[in-house]
Amino acid sequence: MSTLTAAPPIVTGAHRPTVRWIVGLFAASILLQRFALPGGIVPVLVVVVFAAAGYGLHTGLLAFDRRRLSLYLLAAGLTAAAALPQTLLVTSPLISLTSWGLFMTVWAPATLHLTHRDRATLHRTFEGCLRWGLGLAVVAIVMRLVQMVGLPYADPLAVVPKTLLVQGYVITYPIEYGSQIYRSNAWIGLEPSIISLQIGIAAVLAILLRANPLALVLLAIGIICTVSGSGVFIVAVALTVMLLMPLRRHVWPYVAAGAVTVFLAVQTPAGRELASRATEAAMAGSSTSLRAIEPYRFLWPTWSENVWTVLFGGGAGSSQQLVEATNRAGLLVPSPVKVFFDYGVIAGLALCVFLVFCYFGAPSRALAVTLFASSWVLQPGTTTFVVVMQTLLFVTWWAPRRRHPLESAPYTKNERSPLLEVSR
Amino acid sequence: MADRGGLSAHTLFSLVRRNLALIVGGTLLGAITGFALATINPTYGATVVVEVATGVDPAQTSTLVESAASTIESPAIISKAATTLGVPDAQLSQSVSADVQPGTNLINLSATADSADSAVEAATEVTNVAITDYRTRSDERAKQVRSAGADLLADGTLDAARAESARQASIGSVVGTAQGQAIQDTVTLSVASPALSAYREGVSRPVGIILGAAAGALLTALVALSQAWNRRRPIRTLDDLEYAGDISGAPAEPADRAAGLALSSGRKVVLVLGADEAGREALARRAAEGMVLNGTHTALVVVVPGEEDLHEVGADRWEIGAGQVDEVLSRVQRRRLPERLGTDAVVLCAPLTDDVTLYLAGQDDYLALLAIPVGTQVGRAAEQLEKVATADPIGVLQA
Repeated sequence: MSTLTAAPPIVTGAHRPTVRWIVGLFAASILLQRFALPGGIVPVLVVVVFAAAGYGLHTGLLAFDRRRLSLYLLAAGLTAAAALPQTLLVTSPLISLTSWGLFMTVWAPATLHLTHRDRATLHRTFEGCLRWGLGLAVVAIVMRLVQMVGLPYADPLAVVPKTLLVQGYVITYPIEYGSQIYRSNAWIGLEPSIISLQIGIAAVLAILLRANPLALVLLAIGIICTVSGSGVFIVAVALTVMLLMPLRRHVWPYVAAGAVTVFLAVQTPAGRELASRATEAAMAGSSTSLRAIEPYRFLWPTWSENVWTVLFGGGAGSSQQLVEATNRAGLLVPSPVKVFFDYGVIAGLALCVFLVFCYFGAPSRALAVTLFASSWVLQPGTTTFVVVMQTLLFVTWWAPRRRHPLESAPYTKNERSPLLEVSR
Repeated sequence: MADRGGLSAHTLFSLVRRNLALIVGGTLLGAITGFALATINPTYGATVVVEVATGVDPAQTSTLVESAASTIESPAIISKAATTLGVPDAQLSQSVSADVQPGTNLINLSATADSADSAVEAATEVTNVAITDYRTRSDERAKQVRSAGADLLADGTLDAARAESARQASIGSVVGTAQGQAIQDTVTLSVASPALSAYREGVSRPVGIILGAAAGALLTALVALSQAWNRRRPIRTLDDLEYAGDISGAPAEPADRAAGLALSSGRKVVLVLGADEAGREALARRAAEGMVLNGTHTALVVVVPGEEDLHEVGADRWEIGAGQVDEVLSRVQRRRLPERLGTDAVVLCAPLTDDVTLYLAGQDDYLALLAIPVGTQVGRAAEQLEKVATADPIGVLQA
């Protein structure tokens, strides 16, 4: 006879290690996003997350999620096996082992979940991340103000050897042609759009935590300084989801604060520039069009002309190779294209189910929906690690939670942190 | 209480270790398949980048570049190249493609073959034939214009020298303009980037082996883990219960520790639960004896079928009918029970029925030991543990 304790072992205490661990990783995703291992291909953040995941598994902060692990094994196995029919049946397949390996490596941490996913832990974690988001917004605003008083933009990381920085991103660029003012990347961002995305996430956290509306105003100004729609998209989608759920009772003050901020913002050059981008999707060659429309137009004929390519795909990384061959700056490979063009309908469907499942059962429906939409519509989100990392930190590692989502059972006043209440 | 459903790294690795033979077998099978596929029927590709130069309005350039791409793939070009290469026209036609790089005046002329050299030769030969063809046609056109001018000059010579001079100047001007226009309309092809080497299409042997091995390892790992996670699987060892994934826990330990765990918990009431009556009572007796041996005055209360009130059946041994179970299981009665029986602690042995669960669910003021007979389905054991999950129950597997 032998015994088995049925409850999860508490190795490191309750919520504090989890809070420190997640907040630390969010801080790392802000501070280290531009750094790469020698060669400039593998971001330092990949190493950070894998090291942190190893530590989390060792100490009991993390455990493998049975369902996601099963789906991951199925998706990774089928996409690797797809190379075999591609070689036999597809005309001129382009199969990159590196591309497949990178994809599977980036998503491997999604097979894990936090051991402590309770409400109190979630609250403290979101609060800590919100503080970092506010700090990031302040730095983005300061960067803009510094340029407005006449100090030209200078890259503080220019002293770092290029081989130690992630390559292939436009760190920042003028807010309009000929302008001396650059879009805010808070000096440390991989792109203004990534900083905008992270501040946008912080804005959603602020609403979920029912923080002081002034915090949201600060975050909104930060997004405007980036002159990037990523953050606006994150907040707009999240607000739409919140308005469909019981949390809407508490959302209206934030909607009002946001509306006033937007109204005032569009009176400024940066705001006008950002507003003008709202309809740019219809313009050929615009950033939104190059991300969300033109890749489909370009790759659809190649994908659909051969039934074997439809079934088994053109090969891991083939969509990226074809897009790069066009030499069109800014033309990206959106997630659905990457999944189905490269791996076909059969393996691609398994991969798609795994990726979609990573957003299921999240503590916040708004965060899950908005990050999913951002990754699958606007960003090349399946392999851009800093984007994937946001999904891991705020959605996947907290799922599945059996309890009601935060939008259905909002935090009460008693649960709110005094720090967030200080200006009330 | 933490959320359940996780699988510790230790558990996962031990699961993999247990199924190592299956996973290694799958990996080898995948690697061999990948190697075989990469070896059979290898295809190589080579690409020449051809630049199209035109003298026309840039707005018309894209049309001319598209036309050039179509011409390169035309039967006339392919046939000439096929004759030189010594291959059938149809075979070369299938292996050659000319694709315009969007937004540029460059054409990717690609050829595939079963060897690297043949691919390079095919791409290069088709390019050369196409360039020569365009050059020939352009020369012919210029020649035609020159010839037409010469004919005009030769015909209708005027007698008057001044008039003849004026006629020749006029015709020369017209011919010059026509020649200029012909040159402007001429499309010329040139090699922007030759095919210096071929690339392997599909997968090379190392890549085939790696991808095949990865596919084999991942899919057999999935099969192995799915078997372990089957909730209908009979429990043989405590590992089976842990591998089910719904209950993550500590490593298996001897049942004698049940008494020690009860004492360490500081709880005055220890509930021994389970579906099997004999196994449940044996575990309860063992726990009670262990506690007494350690100096804790302990009473054993067994819930039996019937309606009898609580009554003593031996030294510190009591029985109560299931119909009167509220007398000992309701929260208030449960807390008073040791005092009521004049002992320091009570080991209470009861079936885990719905009635009993009603008194216990959501509470954690007792220690729960769950007797699980060998052969119980994983899912069934997990359900029972779930009923008293709040109390962090300890499962005891009974042979």
